[in-house]
Amino acid sequence: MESQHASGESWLSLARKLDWDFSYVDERDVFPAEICGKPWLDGNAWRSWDEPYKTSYSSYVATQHEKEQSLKTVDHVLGRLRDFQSLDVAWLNGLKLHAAALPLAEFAATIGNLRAARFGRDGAWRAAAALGALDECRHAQIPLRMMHKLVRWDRQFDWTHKFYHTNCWVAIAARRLFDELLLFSDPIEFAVATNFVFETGFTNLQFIGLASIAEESGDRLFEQMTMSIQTDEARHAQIGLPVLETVIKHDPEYAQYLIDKWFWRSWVVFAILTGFTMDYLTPVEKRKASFKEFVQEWVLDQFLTSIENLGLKKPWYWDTFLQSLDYYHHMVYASAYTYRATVWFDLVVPGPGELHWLAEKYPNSWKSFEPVWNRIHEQWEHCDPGVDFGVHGTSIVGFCNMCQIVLCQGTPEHNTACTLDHKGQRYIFCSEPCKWIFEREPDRYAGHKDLVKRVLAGEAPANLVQLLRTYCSLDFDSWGKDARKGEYPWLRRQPKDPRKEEG
Amino acid sequence: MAKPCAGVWGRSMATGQKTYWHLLSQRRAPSDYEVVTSRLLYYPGKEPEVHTPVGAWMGKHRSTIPPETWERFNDPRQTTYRSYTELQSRLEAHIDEVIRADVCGPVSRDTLALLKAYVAPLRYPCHGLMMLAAYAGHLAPSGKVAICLAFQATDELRRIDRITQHAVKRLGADAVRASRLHWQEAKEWQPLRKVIERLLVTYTWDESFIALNLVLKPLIDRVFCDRLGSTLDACGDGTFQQIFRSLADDTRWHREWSAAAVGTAFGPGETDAVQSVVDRWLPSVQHAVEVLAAFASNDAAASDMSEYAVFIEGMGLNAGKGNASKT
Repeated sequence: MESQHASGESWLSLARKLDWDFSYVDERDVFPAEICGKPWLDGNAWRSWDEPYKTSYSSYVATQHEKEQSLKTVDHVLGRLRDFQSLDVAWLNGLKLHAAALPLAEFAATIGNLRAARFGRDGAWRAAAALGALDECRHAQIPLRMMHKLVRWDRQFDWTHKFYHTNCWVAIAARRLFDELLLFSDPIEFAVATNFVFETGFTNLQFIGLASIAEESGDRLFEQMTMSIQTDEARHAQIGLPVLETVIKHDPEYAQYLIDKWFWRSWVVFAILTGFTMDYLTPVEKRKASFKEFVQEWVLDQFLTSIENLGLKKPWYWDTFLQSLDYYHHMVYASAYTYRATVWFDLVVPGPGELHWLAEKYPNSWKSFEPVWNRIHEQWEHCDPGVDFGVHGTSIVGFCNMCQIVLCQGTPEHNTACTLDHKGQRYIFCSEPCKWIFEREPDRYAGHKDLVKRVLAGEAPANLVQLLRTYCSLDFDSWGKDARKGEYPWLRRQPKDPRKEEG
Repeated sequence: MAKPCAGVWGRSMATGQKTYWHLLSQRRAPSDYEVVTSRLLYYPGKEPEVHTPVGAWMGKHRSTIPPETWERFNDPRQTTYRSYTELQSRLEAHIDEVIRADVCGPVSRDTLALLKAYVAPLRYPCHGLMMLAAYAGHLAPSGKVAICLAFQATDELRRIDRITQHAVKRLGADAVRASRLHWQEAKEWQPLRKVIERLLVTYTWDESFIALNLVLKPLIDRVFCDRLGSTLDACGDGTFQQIFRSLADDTRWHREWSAAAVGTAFGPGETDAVQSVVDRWLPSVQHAVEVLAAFASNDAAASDMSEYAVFIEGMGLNAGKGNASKT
């Protein structure tokens, strides 16, 4: 890890542990419970907060300046338009998915970190969060700068900035997550959810797993960018553990709740973001391992060991989670492909080579998905290339009232959607964990309208094309299509019968 | 618009769109600063997708000036993460050289007394200033304002680090550690501590930001950086003065961007609200400065107040109804 300080620099802790006893105001007013989070403890209870690698300001700016210079050079050498044009089209669309999902969410993390730099309960925690705020600002600015030149080539890259400003259903789901995780969360929940679960638990999937695939796919720029970002994450993710340890000491039940809630919510987002890219949008010959294998290698063992070491239990829904590891991202991908005009990137149909690979990697579940893709193959065989709407869903889909993603949990044979009646309203969820999260804090979630409810309330148009154009900010040029226009060499497209055309 | 089958990649090869959606109306190529800092906050004007206590807090305390007005603000230095780390790493390298060249000869009793009384405790108010910048940053009405405040918060961290590092070198860690008591109990620090503690519980964004960046910081930064530096220099510790000079570069930028922000958000006829905050906070800040800066000459204090008056008048405001000239 970079920028840790030698123990010889003993002055550094004197520059961090700077809490004092208030005389002119009350500590509870300086650190109000409603914004500091729970448990609310006397300041002395937080004084054991410590980070293993301390960073001085001087070492921070020196290291970060070097990293920025190095990335600038890499961008100059590898970030030309023709470098992007030489990438596989499927991979390029994985890039669009990431480009949109990351920058403004990273900036929401700048806001969350600034809040922790004010309301974190120990001076050293606050200082670490201030540097964390800068890191996240960097992670917003890098992709915005890199992708800007691609807008003139492909308007879908406009969504690098536009995505979170829209009402595309994926953006609603993303805001549903990041509003709570980053933007409007108190520093205790932020530290446990973002720093411990999201950054320590999951981001290795992106920064190690996906970076290695990017290198294999010839996208050296993406590889270098993610690896450079990873070094920042490794530093500020340290904030989480000492916060969690104090919460465990004083309110173990709440600590367990936060872990259970945020493991599930993080899992859902990584299943889509990383799962799509690894198992569908990377050329099959470049794949090193499946998404499931990466999760097993980089998330599960490490996560379980770390929570067991803290005296916590694995989440109560663990069996459900293990099943979803075989199914969930495949369910959402098939759904997203079927409704691709509702997103801002293009998707591909897995062909025989990919299907064989997926069957090998997912022996427990893939036989359930084969009929889905066989049906899509058949539909394309009866459609002309480029006529996406011949192979597209038209009926209204349902969204989970917790995660706001389409009701895609369970298996193709057994969808696990479930309902709950709360204060005279019926709510629907994709899974028991999403229902359980809602039930624990209904005041946070119950007032929300999903996209279908917005249509029914007259806030959004019911006509699909109008909905996409006027409410979701998509238009024909930017909405998702089949990335290969349905022109797959392995399709057995029937030649047109001229007699029928004459008739 | 592309035809469905156009282009090798299934998409149009040239879109005619030259920049991100929100910068198109400018009808010119955006600067790097604009590309990476504009409209980074997606939530102003949107219903939150989750209702948390923090969200309610933000709704209650946010700026009274609409976000679209704040979005027009541009940092005069056009600071991006890249330019910030480049600039600050250069300044820090300079300080490293200053410290390397520092030969610590015998330190006079006067100097040691000054260091103990004024320099070592300085870590605490600077930490308070970091917290206040972070508060204004997390509730900032635009991404560009949030970025300025994030950098301002870490500039305070810079100041804390360099003060601590050099104070430990001069006084030893134990004496520096003991300065907490000085901050909490010494008479000269109490008016300032009172202002900072009161400001920490002032949560309305406009008031918190204006009191911090238009009243407290412009005055106290002069004391911390210039007066303390020149006093130490006069006592024979020129190294500290060089460090403080470099730190003063940061505070100059804090004043510049704050003046630009207020100038953008509050039109010529709308400065009453700003003036009332200045009027509310200036007397206690002035008192804190006077008590604290007893080590500096009266001439220096008068010069600082005149300079402050120029700064505040540049925004169409006045320095507390003639208080400046009285001091």
